[in-house]
Amino acid sequence: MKPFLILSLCLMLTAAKAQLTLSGTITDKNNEPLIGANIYLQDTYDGATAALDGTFRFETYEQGKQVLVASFMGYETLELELHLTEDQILNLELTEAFNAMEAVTISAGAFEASDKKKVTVLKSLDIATTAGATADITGALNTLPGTQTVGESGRLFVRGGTANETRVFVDGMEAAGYYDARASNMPTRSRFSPFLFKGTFFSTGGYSAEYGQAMSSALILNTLDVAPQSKLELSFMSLGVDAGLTKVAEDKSMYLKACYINLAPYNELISQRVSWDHSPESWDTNFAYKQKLSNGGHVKALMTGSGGHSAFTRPTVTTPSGEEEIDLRNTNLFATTHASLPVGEEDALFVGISGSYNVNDLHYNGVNINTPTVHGHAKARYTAQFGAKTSLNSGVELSYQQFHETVEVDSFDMAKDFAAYVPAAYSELDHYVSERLMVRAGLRYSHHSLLQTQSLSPRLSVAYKLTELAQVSLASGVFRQAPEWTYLKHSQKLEEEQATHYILNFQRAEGQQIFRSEVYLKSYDQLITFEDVSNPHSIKNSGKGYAYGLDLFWRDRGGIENLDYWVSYSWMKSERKYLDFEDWASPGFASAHNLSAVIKRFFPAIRSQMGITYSFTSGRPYENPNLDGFMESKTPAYHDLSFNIAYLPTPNVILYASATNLLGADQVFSYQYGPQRDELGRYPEEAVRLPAKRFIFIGCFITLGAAENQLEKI
Amino acid sequence: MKAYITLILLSISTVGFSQSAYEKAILRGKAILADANTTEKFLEASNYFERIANKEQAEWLPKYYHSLSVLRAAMHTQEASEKAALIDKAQTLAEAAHQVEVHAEVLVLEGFTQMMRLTLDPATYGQTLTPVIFGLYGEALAKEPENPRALLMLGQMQYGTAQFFGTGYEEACGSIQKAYDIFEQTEHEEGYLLPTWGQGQAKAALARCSQ
Repeated sequence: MKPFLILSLCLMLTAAKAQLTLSGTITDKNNEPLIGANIYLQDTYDGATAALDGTFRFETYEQGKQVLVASFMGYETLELELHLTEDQILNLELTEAFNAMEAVTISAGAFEASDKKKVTVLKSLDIATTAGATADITGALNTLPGTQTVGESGRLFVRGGTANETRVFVDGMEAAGYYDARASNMPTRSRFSPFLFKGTFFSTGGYSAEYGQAMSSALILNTLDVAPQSKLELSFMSLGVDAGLTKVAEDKSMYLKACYINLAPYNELISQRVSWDHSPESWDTNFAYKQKLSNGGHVKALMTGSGGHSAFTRPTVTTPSGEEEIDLRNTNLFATTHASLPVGEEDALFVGISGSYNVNDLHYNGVNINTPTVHGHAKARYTAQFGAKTSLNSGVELSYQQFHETVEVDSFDMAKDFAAYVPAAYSELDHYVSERLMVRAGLRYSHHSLLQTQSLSPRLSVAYKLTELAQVSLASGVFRQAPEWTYLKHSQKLEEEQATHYILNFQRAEGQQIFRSEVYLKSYDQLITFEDVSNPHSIKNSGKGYAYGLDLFWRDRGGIENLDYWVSYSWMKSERKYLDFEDWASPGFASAHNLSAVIKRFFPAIRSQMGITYSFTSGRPYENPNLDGFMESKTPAYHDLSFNIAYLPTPNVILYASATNLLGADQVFSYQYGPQRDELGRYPEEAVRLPAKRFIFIGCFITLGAAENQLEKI
Repeated sequence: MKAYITLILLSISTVGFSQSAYEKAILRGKAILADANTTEKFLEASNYFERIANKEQAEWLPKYYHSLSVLRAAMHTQEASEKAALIDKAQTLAEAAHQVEVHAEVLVLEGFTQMMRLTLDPATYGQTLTPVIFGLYGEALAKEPENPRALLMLGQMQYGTAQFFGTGYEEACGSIQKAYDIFEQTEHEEGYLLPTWGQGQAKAALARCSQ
């Protein structure tokens, strides 16, 4: 009998604790039921899920002071203190949580290549897989609107700006030697492999106060995070070989790469317009280190070293001898490291430093020019978050540049050098008035030690979400930069040059389709002018310029199965009265119409991706001294049709081939003239073209992963 | 006789008492999840585990099941952005479980989550996520070489890769067969808290293999 007694006693004890029922409804502000919301008592298992009509009901044995929690994805969690003595009926209402991912973003002037953000123009991989870009970051960005193709340069020319008006940053730190050194009219490439980066932020104007010393554009490259797996990558290319090793340990990874390129065999095979005395030969090494910190922060470092040598002779009308003999050697070292550290719950501190050393050794028709340059950049940034809707990004930075040039003609030496410090500070406030309306206001202060100038540059952007899918944004600001060293070496009694941007953007994104249109006005002031560049007194800041235009962009990924394409169109009008221009004129790098169409299609049956890129640039102005007027002539329009194919025979091998200018169009970028009239009284003329009609590339890329245990053998 | 009855009753009550409220809750949640077949039901399971997880912060298992329920809800959701949001949530929860304990089952779940993300947009995620997913299953199998879920998911990933590259399914089907055999041979006593799902999925995958 005894156990039964115990049992009933137990039952009685439980029964003594009365069971209460909590029930009610849960809705949003508009009285719509929140189906599937979780309603429960904190620190208990008691709770319920809201039914299709938003009602809920559950039993509990808990008594007295309790906290009722109601949570639902996308809504602010509600906590309600209850005193439980009897059954309760509750009508709960949740408010939508502010979601920065869903909120409006400032899209004016901003192109982001990323895999994280909801709406992006490019994916990280696009940089490497765009036909015609030959895996060059700049090449891929040149298919976006707002850029002007300047084929003989290979650099970024943004909205009527020169290539020097774009400044490049790696993880927020200046990367001064972004472009490889090339002789004039030989297109350059980025020194950085696109595979070092997880995302690219390319601004065609109106960018953040965090970035200065750039009048037109900022290009921000963000390096990869800690690698997921150790691997060895080997590349065998028609131009050289490349090997990269990634080693991964808990929360950190290391990457080491070496590359050797020699174009001699290629130049033997493909007919060239110049005669190579030393075909381009270069080496390149990378070292990258990343570590995740236990506090949620990270440390990253990237070091690159590269060097190259090329020499050629080409006929030209511009020299008395009738030819140009050029020999260029280059060495470049770059290092950057930064730490990103969380402060408290939401704030973050960033400290970084970068430095680069570059030396060009150029021999040009018996003249030797040696230019070693040093750049340094240190920056500290603090991002303070005030609730979900407001943040303040402030920072201080110091840039340093040292320039030296020795010109040697017939054992006669001329040396010029200078060093400058540019300390700067900025602060920028981001505020979401609502999920639909956002304001960004910033101010940048900068001082230039050499020019002895101080300046304040305001920036202001506003974005407004029209519908779920469409938004408009406006960006404006003042952007300044010191004159190029070409002028600074002659005169330092100069001012900073400046540009003012006004940009209006409309963007509509639905699923994998995105449409953007942008109109802008950019006005230049205090541009460099001179009568004779070697006469320091004639160099002044009395130049002006303007650019206005329309940019259109459309991309559709997967609307048609396995097909991905984008089309960019830019129309621009730009004129300047600067340098030694006699009158207002469109500069030679400015073209009125630029069109790019990029198509990629994946063929599952043959496991291949094929890509076609068509680029069109309308004629560029040039000055023909045989005709009346100034910059009165225009080159023929530029066409290029490029193709690439990537074939994946097995998961770890990629076979790749690409070719530019398939149609063999005659691509003329400009015309040059001799200094003297010939017998007929005309200045002799020659066209500026690429060193070869087309560029063909073949490569085989092999990845040996840890899965295959290949690494253990190394 | 009396003593005998007492003994039986006592042992019953001890069995009853030895199963804590926590364990009962997990088992009940497992049953809700196993029976779920609509997004709403999966949300109910996910809510249920969320409550346990909130109370039992030091346990990885409720977090695991919370994440698994959300992931199952994602699999039943058609709308792309909602699906992506649920996958994000499942991943965050799996990572929270990982913070508590790096259990083989957690690694499998993390791999499963990433696999779901991969299917959202293979062209974008294929290259970056494939090594991550294989890495997670490899790590899980290093901890528990006979874990049938790790073998099953690895097999399915290998199957997808083989399908893409048009290579043979031997390796994939070998992993799936092995997983299936382990599922067949394993019997769990009542009140087993750890994950047991996957047998039906293994059977279906094996059927595909034999085609």
